[in-house]
Amino acid sequence: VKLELLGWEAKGMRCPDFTFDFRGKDGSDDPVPVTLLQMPNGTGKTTTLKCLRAALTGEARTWEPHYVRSFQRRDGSADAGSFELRLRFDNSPLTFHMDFDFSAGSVHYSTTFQRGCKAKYDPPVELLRFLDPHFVNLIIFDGELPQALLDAGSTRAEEGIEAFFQLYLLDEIGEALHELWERRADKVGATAQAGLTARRNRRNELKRRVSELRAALRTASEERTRVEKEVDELKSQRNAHTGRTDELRKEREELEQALDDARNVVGARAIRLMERLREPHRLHPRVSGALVQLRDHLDRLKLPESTSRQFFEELLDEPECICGRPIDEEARQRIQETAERFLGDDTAGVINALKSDIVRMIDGRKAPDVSLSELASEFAEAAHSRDAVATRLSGTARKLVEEGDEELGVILHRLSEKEQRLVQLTDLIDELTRKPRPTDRKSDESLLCISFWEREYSKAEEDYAEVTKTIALRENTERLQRILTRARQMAIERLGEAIVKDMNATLDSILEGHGIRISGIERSLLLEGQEGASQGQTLAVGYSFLSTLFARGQNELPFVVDAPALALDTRVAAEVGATLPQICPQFVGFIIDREREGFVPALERAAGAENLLYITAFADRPVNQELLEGLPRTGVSRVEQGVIVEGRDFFASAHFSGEESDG
Amino acid sequence: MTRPEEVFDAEVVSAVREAVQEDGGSDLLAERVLAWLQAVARGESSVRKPSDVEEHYQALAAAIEDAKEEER
Repeated sequence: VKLELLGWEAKGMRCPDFTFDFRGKDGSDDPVPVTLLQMPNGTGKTTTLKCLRAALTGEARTWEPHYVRSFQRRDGSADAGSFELRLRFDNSPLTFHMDFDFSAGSVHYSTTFQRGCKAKYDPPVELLRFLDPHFVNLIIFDGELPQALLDAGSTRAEEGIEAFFQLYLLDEIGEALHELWERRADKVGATAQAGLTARRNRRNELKRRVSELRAALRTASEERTRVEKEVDELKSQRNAHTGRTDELRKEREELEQALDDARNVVGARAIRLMERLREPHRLHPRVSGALVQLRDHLDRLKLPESTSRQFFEELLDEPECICGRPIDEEARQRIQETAERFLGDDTAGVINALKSDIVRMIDGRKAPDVSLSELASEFAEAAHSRDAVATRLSGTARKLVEEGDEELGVILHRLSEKEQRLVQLTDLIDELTRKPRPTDRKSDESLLCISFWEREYSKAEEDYAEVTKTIALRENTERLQRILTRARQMAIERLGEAIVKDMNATLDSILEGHGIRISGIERSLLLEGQEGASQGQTLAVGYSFLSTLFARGQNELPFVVDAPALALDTRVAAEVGATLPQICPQFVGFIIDREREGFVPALERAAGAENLLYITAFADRPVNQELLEGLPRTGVSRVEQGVIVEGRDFFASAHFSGEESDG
Repeated sequence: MTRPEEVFDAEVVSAVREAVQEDGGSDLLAERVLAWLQAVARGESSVRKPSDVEEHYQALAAAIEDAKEEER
């Protein structure tokens, strides 16, 4: 990631309406590597730094109204203000704009990136992780940071390392896995998980049952094929005996034909009877009477609201009612008031359809020509005739046996056995291969329907798989969280050791002879062999910490520092000035006149004068009279409540005679 | 394909690999953990999007399962 600071613009805020552009004067779009913003106290540096952080982090969205109002001009001359931060992200322009509404006490963001503008805080997703407040507090270096890094009660050093090296991603991934497990566990339920063994046994039991029933079907089918052949063979043998004479053969053939006909009649009458049974209202007058009674007790005059409300609304716009009468104002009002009474939920549609069916099937229909009992009698009569023919057919063969055909007797006996077996096998196969019925129950162990048990097995398999997956997810999540926690712990220890080593090398260089060294990092930086350090030493420690981080980072980021050399003696300030251009690709420092000595010349030498931008900005107030009187002829911009002067000469000679508290 | 060292500090990458190894995990598991971290860091995957989390979890779970299969 490469982030560059191009400048910012403040309007109507508790600072003059300063606009700063950090791009080079050669018309380049690139910002200069070092910008020094010389501003006396009381010019609004604190306001500007807060706005810079808020623009990057989006935090102003949650600011309290009274806090928002603390950015309003002291004289209350503006009800609204704005702050716009202009950046370049991976070579594409990126702007965060904040509109301050001091009356409402709120801040509204807009974000412009590449060619789109969105009326909200909407940074590119790749940049989001660098806009974490912990991270932004490192790149916009506040005056409290160096002390906080050494403060035993503070965690800012560790937070800085975690933010800079993105160690928080290890926590976030661990948390995401935990949430995934929670979502899955909610779906499956704890009881289900506890019953894993029972579920596995149930699944295995069903699998075994299905397998046994399929094997039984194979065996039964094979046996039936075999028995069918045997029956055919035995019938041939029987026919050979019963067709010994033409007379006998003719009699048998006639009876066989009669039996076929009788069976057809039975089939046709069975169908007729079944059709009648499928119409319950025609079974008996009591059934149809009960249906009519049901219809009369169902809701009356109800329409499904979702589909019928529009009808009433459109009716109100019609000149005439559906009955043909004109709709006057009174009728219109009446329709509007009573429409609600006719609107029910969506079941009203089903109820209306049911009532309509009852009317269609029962009302106005003639009683059937043939009653159910007549149809049943006709069926019984046909079955009786069929049985009588069958008896006569078997009687002809038995008669021959009685007359001494013993071989036929054996054939008939075996045929009877095989036919019985065939019926048993057919019934068994029908039961095994039938479709599941609503009345089938898994508690019925004798149930043979394969489809039913296959369905049950499939459900048990899914159930078991779901629970198994959830349990595996829990085990894997626990394991991965353990790994991520350990990785984070090892990373922070090793990074800490490496940072301490590099920091000490930097401190040996910039604080030569001071004996300031770091012994380790335990949430904060630990000084070696001493409790505390001077303000200058503390600042140098802060620089060495950040320079070490920046040197190890994989990203190019700007570094904004308030009072970079204020607490340093001239020699240390010069060391820091010489170091800064090496540790970051872009440095923006807010300085005051007292910091120039040592610091600025060293910075110029290290960065090259052509890579420095000198800006002096101050409020247009009597306290700055001396500065106002010494303004150069060129490079001066007057803005609302302030003056901006660009150029090294004014910068180098400016003297801030009187200073106010910053705001 | 970007190497994890191009996105993260080498100490972070080696810490992840060693933590996986300490826990008896495979090299494949370590690479998949790093791939997820990389994807999140580069904004290609979000830890707030359940489908992204599910996808990466499945990759990790498959690596764990593969290692178990090999042990058997």
